[in-house]
Amino acid sequence: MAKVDKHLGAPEPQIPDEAVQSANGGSIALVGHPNVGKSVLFQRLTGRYVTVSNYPGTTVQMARGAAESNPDTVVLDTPGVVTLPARSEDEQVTARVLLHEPLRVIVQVGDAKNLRRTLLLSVQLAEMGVPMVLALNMMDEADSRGVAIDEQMLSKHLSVPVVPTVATAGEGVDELVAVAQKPRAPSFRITYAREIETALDEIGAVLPEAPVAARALALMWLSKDAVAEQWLAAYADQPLYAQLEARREELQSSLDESLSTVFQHTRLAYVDRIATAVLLKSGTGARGLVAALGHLATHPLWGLPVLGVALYGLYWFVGIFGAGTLVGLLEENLFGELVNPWVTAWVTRALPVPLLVDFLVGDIGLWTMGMTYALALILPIVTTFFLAFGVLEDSGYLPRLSVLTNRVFRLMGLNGQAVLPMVLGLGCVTMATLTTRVLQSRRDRLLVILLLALAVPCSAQLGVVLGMLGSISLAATMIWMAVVLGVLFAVGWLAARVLAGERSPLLVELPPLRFPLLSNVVIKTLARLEWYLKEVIPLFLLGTAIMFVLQQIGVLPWLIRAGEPLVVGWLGLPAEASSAFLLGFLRRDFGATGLFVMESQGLLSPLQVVVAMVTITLFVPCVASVFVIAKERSTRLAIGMTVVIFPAAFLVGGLLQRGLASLGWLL
Amino acid sequence: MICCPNCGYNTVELSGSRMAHVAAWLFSSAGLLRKSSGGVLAETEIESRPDGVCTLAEVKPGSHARVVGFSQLTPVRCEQLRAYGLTPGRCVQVIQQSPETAVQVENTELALEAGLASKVNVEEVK
Repeated sequence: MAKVDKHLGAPEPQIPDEAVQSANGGSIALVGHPNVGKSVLFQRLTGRYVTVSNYPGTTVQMARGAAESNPDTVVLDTPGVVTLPARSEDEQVTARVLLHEPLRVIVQVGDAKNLRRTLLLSVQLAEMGVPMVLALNMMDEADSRGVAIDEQMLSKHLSVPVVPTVATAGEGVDELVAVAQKPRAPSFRITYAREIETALDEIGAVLPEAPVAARALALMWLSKDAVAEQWLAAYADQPLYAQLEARREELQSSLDESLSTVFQHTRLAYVDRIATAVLLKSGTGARGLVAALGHLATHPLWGLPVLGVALYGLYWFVGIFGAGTLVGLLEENLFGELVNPWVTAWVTRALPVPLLVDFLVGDIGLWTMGMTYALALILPIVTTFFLAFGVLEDSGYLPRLSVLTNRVFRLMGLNGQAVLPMVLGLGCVTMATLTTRVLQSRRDRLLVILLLALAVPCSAQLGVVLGMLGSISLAATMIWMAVVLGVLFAVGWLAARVLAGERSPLLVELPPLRFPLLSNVVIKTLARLEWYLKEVIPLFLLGTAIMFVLQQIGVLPWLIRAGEPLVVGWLGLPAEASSAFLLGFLRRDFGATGLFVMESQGLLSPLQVVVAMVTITLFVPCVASVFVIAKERSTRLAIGMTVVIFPAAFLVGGLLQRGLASLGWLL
Repeated sequence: MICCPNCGYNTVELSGSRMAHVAAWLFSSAGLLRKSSGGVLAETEIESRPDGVCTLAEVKPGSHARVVGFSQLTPVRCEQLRAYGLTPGRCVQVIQQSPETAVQVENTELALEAGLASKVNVEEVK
């Protein structure tokens, strides 16, 4: 899918450059609300690696895959929509799929236990005249709540086949595939008020030929859907466009409320009638241990111990098991004693050129430093983090966490939903920057990107930092946390004052807590790891190569000396630390591991460790994040942030050093 | 005149109109003002609320309430809330009010800030 325009008011819509067409003509699009299991169903239909998640936004990088049943057909997993007309960036991506891609069939994935909400979307999709199937997913949860639906009757009302499914168990999927093979366009129609019907007929008659029914396009146009407006701006000539605008204006002025509200009222009334007719039993709601745990998780008092348990689990799994046990095993035992000596010996024998040998396996060797760091140090930490985060995501805990943390984020001018990218930032800031699309307003996204770049340590760095501070004392870790959080809040509060725009209030669905499907977590982790390694390894190797070259031509010692006044004078660290900061720009974890190595060689005092850790945490985002920020927002912003953050980090580090030293704190 | 930031729809700012308020009060006293979200004063400040109507933020956890309408919210926000299931006439159950408001709508749980909840007008259902 082509990148989503940053300025979605632009008149030229981009037709996706990878609009792969199926041999039978058209793809299968999975459409639906967030949290209904679209991604799980996508995986069932395609058997491909895909990021599966419980909260909206992770699948913004739209997934495409060949259908298992028919490799010629492409299946699309669209971002979740809360309402159509599309307002948020995610929703607009889905609207684009509907309007631009040649579709053979739309599969709406709906939450069976929330029929009315599902139907509100169904009626809009059915009006589009594209062949459609409704998959009523999560039937198991509906059953356990006592919800019973007459699917035949529903199918008759909508003129769309209805298939009950439980995507996580694979139930109903075969039937869904069979039904999707024989698509038929629905003959569904809602009758609106008379003036609206007249306008719809008039507009529909003059619209250019579109992938969706003229009536549906006219409805989108009248609701001021931005994607429809762009499409018409491209496909209708100027006089026609002006005519359409005038007609819309005329219709709007005859009504009290906005057209999209009027449509919504009509649709809601319709949906209510259908729901009353087809709901045999509307259910008694969730009961039991899981529901109680869910309520506990958002309780103002009991929520905190639940959070504590989750955090401690994360800390233990990533910080102690990952960064401690696994890294120790890999670095010291596997690489240190087995692999590296063997590789060194082999390379020395095979290559006659000493410089080349040095380049590969010397002190700053591509293998001995670059690859070893990447595989022995970073890989175990990142793997454990992604596994833990995958479990958290799939369990449905994160939206509940956003309820608990909302007050806290208010101080920073955000709402609790920011907790999602912030927590993911603890895994990888680059990935988290992409996830900021979850947030509703541009202002929120900008603010979170700034805070991510400044104060959130990514997992490998975090693992190393916690490992180093933990080996000193708990107090050291507390000081680090206090300073970093302090900076986070201060900057957030300030930036919120400065940035234009209203704060968006918290409004989020709380899906029921679910036991994560281990296979999903593993698949997600593998997909994330693949992405991560493709990013990390080349950069580590590049960084090592650069450092090697710098050292050979004698520039490295010069650079280190150049950085000395700052690093030694201001921060009070040994001169070698400046190379760690240099590397830290390339990859934050690379810099942290440089310091880790220095400490294990006894070169850093406890005070120096704390100062170094704080500075490196606040330090500029790594090159990859800067690129992503430049791509997501603008190059100017990316450069601006880097230029501001660099001195800020050093300033805080130096102040901390003076502060702690003056208190006589050595520990 | 006020202008909707989303669709540019212009309308008269009724909350600033003394006469509109006097009229509203007269009508509601006479029982002639419908409690539903229809009508021109639906999305502006109504100083006098008919009996039994309060905001979602004021409902005790565990109680049920029927959605009546919204006040001081943009049309886009109202559409969003309705899309989540908070439609006029729908009965919801309040799960908690602190740290934020959470309600059960049909079979889904929805969390909203107190600021938003205080703009959703409901009537308590015994």
